[in-house]
Amino acid sequence: MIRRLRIAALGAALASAAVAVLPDAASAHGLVGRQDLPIPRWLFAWGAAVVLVISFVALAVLWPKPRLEEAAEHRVLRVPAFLEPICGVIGVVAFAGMVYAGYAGTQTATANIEPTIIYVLFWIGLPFASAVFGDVFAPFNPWRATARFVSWVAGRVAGDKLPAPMAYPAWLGRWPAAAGILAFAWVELVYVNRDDPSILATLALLYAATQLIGMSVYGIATWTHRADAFAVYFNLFSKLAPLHWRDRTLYRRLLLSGAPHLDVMPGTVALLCTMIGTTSFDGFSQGQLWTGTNAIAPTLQQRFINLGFSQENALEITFTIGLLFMVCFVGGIYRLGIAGMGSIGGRHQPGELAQKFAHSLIPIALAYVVAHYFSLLAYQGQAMASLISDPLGDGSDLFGSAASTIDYNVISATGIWYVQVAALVLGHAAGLTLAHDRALTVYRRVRDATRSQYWMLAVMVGFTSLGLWLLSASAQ
Amino acid sequence: MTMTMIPIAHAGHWFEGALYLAPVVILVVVLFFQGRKEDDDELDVVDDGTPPARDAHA
Repeated sequence: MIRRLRIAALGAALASAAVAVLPDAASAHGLVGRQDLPIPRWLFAWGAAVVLVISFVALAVLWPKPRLEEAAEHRVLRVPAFLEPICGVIGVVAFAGMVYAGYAGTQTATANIEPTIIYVLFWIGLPFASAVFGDVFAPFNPWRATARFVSWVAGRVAGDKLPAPMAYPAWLGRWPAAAGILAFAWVELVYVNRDDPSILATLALLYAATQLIGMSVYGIATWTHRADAFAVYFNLFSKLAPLHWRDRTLYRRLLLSGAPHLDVMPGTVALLCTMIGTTSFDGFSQGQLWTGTNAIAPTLQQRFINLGFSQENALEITFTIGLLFMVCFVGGIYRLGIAGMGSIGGRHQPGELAQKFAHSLIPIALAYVVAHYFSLLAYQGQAMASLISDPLGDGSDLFGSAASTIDYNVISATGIWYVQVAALVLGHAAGLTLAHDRALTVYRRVRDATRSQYWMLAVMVGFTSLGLWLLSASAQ
Repeated sequence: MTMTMIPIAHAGHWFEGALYLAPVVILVVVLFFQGRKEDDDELDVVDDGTPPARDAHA
């Protein structure tokens, strides 16, 4: 039985890399120029695997006791109370300005500031910032700030007559957040009008309205912590940061030590797999296997056209299937790795282990974000200089920087490749470290803890190879 | 009479893709046999009652 489970879990690792034998994927976002590498790109995958194996051995030998679970925090500073509403106002004004730009500005995506704010600053920049500076989104969260203001006013007017929030259903957990991230990824990767500023503005308002309703029913803190997709998304990345904000106080702590404190609830694993799976699909969907002649997407699209769907709808259905498949694929790899882990030391159910090791997926999600979107942030992020001066694309020059252009020499294509490889290797090494640290508390014997992590090592190397394969054709 | 073409037109792509898969395959094979060896060691320990050396620092 144990051996059968081991075969199953090893098969999981193989499956995660099996996609890599398929023809090369196309480039990642915004890469320009030609990479000038001293060795073939596939050799980086070998190097990454060696680094992870060495990390695994080093952890087994040098890390015999859990160190991250109870790591201490040290207070750095406390910010005055009046800053909190000021941050909230800044968030609300920024959100309102962005929505206004979406409706009133030019509908050319590259000339309107709104799509760049959403897809570059918000979706990519904030995860980077959160992983370094902690949960920086929380004080600026516009719908949370609005809800708190309304709650404050209502409290002043109604006093104690305000009804208490309803109890949040335990089974719902973070499923709304997972659905929200999947929906955003769908808009970004599947929806044909993804760049239309007015449609994006409407979707932003719909999202804000949903959050306000949720907060009014279940309470602001509860909803923000569990169901506000973006608040949860950024908060997850902030758990890796060496800085931690709590009650207007900044603490410093050991890198990664926030992750073991992730309160896992229903939907958390699904959310993390959605984060990794959607980013993976972004890379996969640009590859020859998906979009080439007689590849998966055109073949599927033609079948849906034959069923009577329009070309656009058929394309959206096809990409939706691909997106969901990739999320399920990532989830399947994780669950199979967990099944293998469950065969060690007895007593542990796969469901229990899946929850206990869920936090080890956070650095992998961040690694995929950095690897896939770093170039977009490096290049398209510069467009903010001109867009901030001409946010509506109507020819204005508010700050005198409307004429500034993107400097594609800020980092070379070779430099980007090294950043991507480093992100993937460090992210998976961090995942291994978190899993090893947790295994030491889950398993009674160090020997079992180490053996259980064979499965995580195989999964990590598989995910690293998959990530590098997805990026590899960017240099071609 | 028609001949069936073997789909090897993109063999170069497939070969390069396989190179990304190779370290995973090697690792899986090594871990599989390592796990089997440790299972056997464990059974031997149960037989003679001697604790495995690697657990000495546990």
